[in-house]
Amino acid sequence: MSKASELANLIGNINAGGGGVNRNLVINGAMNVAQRATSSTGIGASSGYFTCDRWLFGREAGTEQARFTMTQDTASVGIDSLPFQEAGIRTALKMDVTTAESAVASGESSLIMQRIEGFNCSNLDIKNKPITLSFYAKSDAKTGTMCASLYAGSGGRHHVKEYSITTDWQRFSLTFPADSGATALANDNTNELQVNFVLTAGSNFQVTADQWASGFDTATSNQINFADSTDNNWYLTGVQLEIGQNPTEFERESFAVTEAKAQRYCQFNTAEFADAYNSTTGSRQVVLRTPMRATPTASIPSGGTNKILDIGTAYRNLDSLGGFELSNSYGGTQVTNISSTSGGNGDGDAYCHIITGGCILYDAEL
Amino acid sequence: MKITSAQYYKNVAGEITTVLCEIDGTKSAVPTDPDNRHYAEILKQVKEGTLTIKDAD
Repeated sequence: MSKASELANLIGNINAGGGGVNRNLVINGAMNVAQRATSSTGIGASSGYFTCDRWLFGREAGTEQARFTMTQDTASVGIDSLPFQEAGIRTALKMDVTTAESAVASGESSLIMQRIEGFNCSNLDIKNKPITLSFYAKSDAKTGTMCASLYAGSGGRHHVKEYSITTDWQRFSLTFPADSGATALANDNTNELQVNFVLTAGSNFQVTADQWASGFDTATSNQINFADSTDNNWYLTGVQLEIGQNPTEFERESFAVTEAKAQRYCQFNTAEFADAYNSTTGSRQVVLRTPMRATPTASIPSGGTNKILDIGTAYRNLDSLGGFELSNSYGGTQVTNISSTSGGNGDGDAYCHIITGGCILYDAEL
Repeated sequence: MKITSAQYYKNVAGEITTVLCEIDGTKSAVPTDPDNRHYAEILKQVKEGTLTIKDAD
């Protein structure tokens, strides 16, 4: 895109109420933050967040046979690649089909999504303003028609668009018109606007392209079955959703800024000290890196080196804990009580736990 | 989302603030906050009759 065109598009979007800095409603569009892992196998057994922050893998029926390895990929975005040449992007989300699904049943679907919190998108006047989704995508083998869509949480409305994927990187720009039948996006912490990239979609999710309508539908009947061969790899990066009818250059931001945005939804805490509460419980006041969207789920990532040290006794794996719980959150702090199924050697009733080399994951994703 | 071994848990003040469970095999503490996606899923599965939550000890 020429600089003159870029400037014209930006001015057009500013006139529509968008443009400027922080115009991208998507977080981690460049896929450069991956707090949980850079690669995860067996994706498809359940929905969830696995690698690149804020990007949710979803399946709809629970009977889908397709499995993927989901990776924060660097090999596909070398310095000669289009995403790097145009936007300086060095990471992409890769979905590698590891178990093929030859036929997609009517209620089945696999897709990549980002759910956008109302506080971050309620400035969009969806009834009167267009919105533009742009992204880089390519395939290693399978080519054809694929679908991307928006879903507006308030009102439950969808709009599906098609794009044609090839084995070369392309920049796709899809403009969604205003939705006269829409309900205003709520200014709250719920899922108000969802971006969907479909890999497979059964007939239950197939509708007519290029129109707003009620319901959660994500594709057209032209959507290819991207999971029909283990040769298939799909890549996505540079995702930008902005107010206005024109695509502008991908808005690059520093890693630290993206990471901080992502930590509203997911963050790890490591190597903290838990004060004794009683014979089996340590109470730990955690200062969150940033206040989170909602009271988070706390979990112990499996396969790590999480351990606790009971004062005067040996290390034990955190995985063997009987439980831990969260109490009230006061604007960025969280009390996490870590309990053990077995008592220690005792120091009166007091009992200390130290977490060493381990971590607790706090999850407040949408 | 496969949720198993769900049990209410009382905090140090004796209040139920959490559901302890395993989510897809990972031991988790889910706050009883309707804005939390895991708690919303727990409520959904309880309503559908596919999950029960044991009382707190």
